[in-house]
Amino acid sequence: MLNDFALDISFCFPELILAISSIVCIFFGLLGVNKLLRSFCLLILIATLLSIIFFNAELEFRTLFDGAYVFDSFTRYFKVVILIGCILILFVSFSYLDKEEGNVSFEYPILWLFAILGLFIMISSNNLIVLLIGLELQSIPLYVLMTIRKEYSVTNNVAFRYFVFGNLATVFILYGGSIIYGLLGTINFSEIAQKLKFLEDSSLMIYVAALLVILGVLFKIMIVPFHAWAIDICENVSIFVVIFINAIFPIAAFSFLIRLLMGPFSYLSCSILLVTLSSLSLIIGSLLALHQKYVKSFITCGSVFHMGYAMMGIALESQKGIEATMIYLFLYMFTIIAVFSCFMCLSKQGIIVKQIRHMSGIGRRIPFLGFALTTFMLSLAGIPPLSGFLVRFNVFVELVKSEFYLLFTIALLSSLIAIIYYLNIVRRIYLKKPKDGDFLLEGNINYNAILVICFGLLINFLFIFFPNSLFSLNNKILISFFNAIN
Amino acid sequence: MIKIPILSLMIFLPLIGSFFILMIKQDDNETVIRNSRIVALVTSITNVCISFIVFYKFDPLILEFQFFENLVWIKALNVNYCVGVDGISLPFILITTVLVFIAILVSWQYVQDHIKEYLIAFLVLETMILGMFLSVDLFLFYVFYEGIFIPMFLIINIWGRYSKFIPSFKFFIYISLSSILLLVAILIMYSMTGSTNILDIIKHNFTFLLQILLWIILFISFFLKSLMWPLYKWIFDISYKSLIPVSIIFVSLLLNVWCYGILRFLFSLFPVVSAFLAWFVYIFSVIIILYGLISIITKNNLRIIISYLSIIYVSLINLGLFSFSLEGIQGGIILAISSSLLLSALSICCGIIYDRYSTYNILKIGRIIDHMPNYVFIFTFFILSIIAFPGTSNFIGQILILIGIYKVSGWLFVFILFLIIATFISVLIVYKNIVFDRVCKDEESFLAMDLVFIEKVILIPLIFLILCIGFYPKPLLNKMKLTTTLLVEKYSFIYKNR
Repeated sequence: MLNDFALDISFCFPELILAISSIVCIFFGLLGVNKLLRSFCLLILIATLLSIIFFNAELEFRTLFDGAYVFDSFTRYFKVVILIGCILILFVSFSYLDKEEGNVSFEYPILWLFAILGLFIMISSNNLIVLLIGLELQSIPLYVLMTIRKEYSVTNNVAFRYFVFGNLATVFILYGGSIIYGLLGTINFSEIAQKLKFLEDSSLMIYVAALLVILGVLFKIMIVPFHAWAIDICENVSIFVVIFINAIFPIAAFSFLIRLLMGPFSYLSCSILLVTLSSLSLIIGSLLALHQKYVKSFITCGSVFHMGYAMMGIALESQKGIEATMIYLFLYMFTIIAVFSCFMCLSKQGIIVKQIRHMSGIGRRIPFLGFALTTFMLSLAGIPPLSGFLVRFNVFVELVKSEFYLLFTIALLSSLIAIIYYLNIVRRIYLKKPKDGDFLLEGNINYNAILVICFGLLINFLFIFFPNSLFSLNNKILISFFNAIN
Repeated sequence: MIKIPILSLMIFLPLIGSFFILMIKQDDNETVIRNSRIVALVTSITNVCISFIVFYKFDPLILEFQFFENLVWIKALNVNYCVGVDGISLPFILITTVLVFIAILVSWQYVQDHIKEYLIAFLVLETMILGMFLSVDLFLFYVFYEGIFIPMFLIINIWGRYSKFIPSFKFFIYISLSSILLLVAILIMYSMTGSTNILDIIKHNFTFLLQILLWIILFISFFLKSLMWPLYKWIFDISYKSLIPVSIIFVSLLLNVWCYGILRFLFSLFPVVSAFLAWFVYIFSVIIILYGLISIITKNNLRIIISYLSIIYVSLINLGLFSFSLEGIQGGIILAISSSLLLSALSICCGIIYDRYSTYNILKIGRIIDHMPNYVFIFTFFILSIIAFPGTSNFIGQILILIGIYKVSGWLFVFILFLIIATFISVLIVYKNIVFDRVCKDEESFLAMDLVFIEKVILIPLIFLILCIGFYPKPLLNKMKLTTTLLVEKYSFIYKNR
């Protein structure tokens, strides 16, 4: 049995690296070497990334620890994507945090490491208890991270609101999970799938419990009934928390949602629910973003809209649909991280740009930022030939093939509204002049941010010209995923 | 013989040129302006040369797309980068390259501020429009079609900026609607046939209802994109300070987009529905010609007269194209080309008059033959072109269209002939007003300057081209012949019933 355990642990190498190094970092932090610590955290993330890519590279689906933990190419892919995103974000945060030596406690990057570890556990969980461990491990650092920047005076209020909402999500999952355990007698997802397959009388309680679990997961994705928390908090927390909420959490939540919907809950058809929620997100997200004046809430409302798009792919419940979602999320993450890096280059006296109207005329003064912001905004708006259009076209093709015509119409009309506000930003940075006495932004030469922006541009343009590798990778992963489930 | 991807070169060269211009540092220096103009000029002249090389090497006896390039792009969606020329796209790529060349020449004299944006906008517009004309794959077509949006946005926003924001907002709604409609049509066709290649879609048979739906969607999409609907209101909204040559050249480019859209999509893919719904287009075009004619008679503003002339030309082209006869279609294409040239030339002449007299009102412009003999010579030539004087390209186009209309219906032919002659008469009256009529007694004290060198440089190539096509249209007609004949053969069912 020890042999089994040792074998299983060897598959969890990335999580092990993260866990042990984070704990070591906490002790390191007491030495007071903050800069070194931050670089060390970045190194840890890179090491984790390498270990995922290169260790145990060929093996297919495998359950570890007696069915509690899953290891397959699907989870590995998502972990790699999340790690690349987190590395970029941490990299950008360095130059920003370097200026604020005294104000940031050393736990800042370490808390992110714990949150990422929690996300990994959540993604790979095959068991309700492990899922909960992952959820809690990922939420608690976030509660702390919200209050860690003392520059915002309303922070404690905001963090408390998020605490309440986040707990609501956890409570949903816990309650649903416990009902499922009560009815089926098992907490293991594969066994739940088996039992639901052969269930003679599908009682209403099973549906309710499954619904509760799914809704708890949807909380992270910022889909419509659960979008209010993100828009509520995003103005008053640090920009890195906002980036994580917009870019990283939805991906992790989506990967877990896909595993849930194709695994245990595949015999309960949630298509109507997802279609309704995604169409509502599309409409409400685009209408909300139309009125936003602040940069962070603008991008967050845009995220609600884009998550509606990503959700449409899952609502189709076909392999091609899920592929479309995965590709959409991949590009969306890189675009959002790069957009926020652009914003971080625009600051005055250390305060990052807050209002959209302060960005007037930036395109003329700082041509590189203008070009980058234009590319990303047009990509988010879905204008060809940029990558945002390609991924949307992919989703549309699947929609039309599966004959979801109403959803297709709603998606088209709401993307029409989306074009308005994304083009508004382009218009503002190029064609408007800042009024006298307005908050004039300076572009700071922030090498880290510029590197991340270049990386985002590179990914966008590479995808336009050579999209086949990403498509075939996702195809292979999903084929092996579906083979493993059936 | 090394196979150079000449079409891709032609499409992307203006984009590269605009990139060079973008990288010129933003100063308000004279040398910067001159440098960017030179870069733009070199790029557009090269593109004109390349398009003439393609024209020369185009074999009129081959049926398929020539200079074909096919690269795998997105395997998962069965979308390829597929470009090629055939008899329909050939005239349009010629006229596009020439028009953009003229637009860049115009910038020397007329555009004094926002020069970089102007040049970049027109070069990117050239890339997108050429890409549209040359792409054989629908997805690629959509990419270029939607890509027109950004330069249009720039042009209308900057040079319409003296007018209120409302025109550009309405314009935005129409353009977005047209893009979405085209996307819907492409997705429907893709889901039915499984491929986005035009060659595959031509072979597929759609149900009649679906054909009508697709026809209407595509018609509305091209109609809105070529700014036909808001054109009549929009182009008059632009205030006196905006540049008439810019707007008219822009409009001519879009006119060609409209013609190409009709020929490539509506006629090739849905012949039955086109014949079925042609009556609607006929009634619409005739009403527009009548409307344009009455407006020309009643208005005194030269700018507005030119705008209404452009509308009349569009309707004539529609009538010719929808007659589904060989002469009609060929005449439509030739009239599209020549009226683009002619309208651009007229708008430049109009701009010259505004430059000298600061007014567009023809009643206030005195006897210009005393002051500007060179200008009157050139202006007379262009007025003769409007009148379809034999020897100008307009004559070829209009004669062919009239033959085509005659094949549809004799009565319609007589009616259109009457309308055209009435238009010619009103144009001649305008000409007389500008050139010969005295406004007040002490005219001689006001001396307007005759043509400057740069204006001659702009106008002479246009005269040359109009004369060339007018006297010897055979090369052009020859190269178009095979493709248009095959197109017309799809409509042979109409003539069986006549």
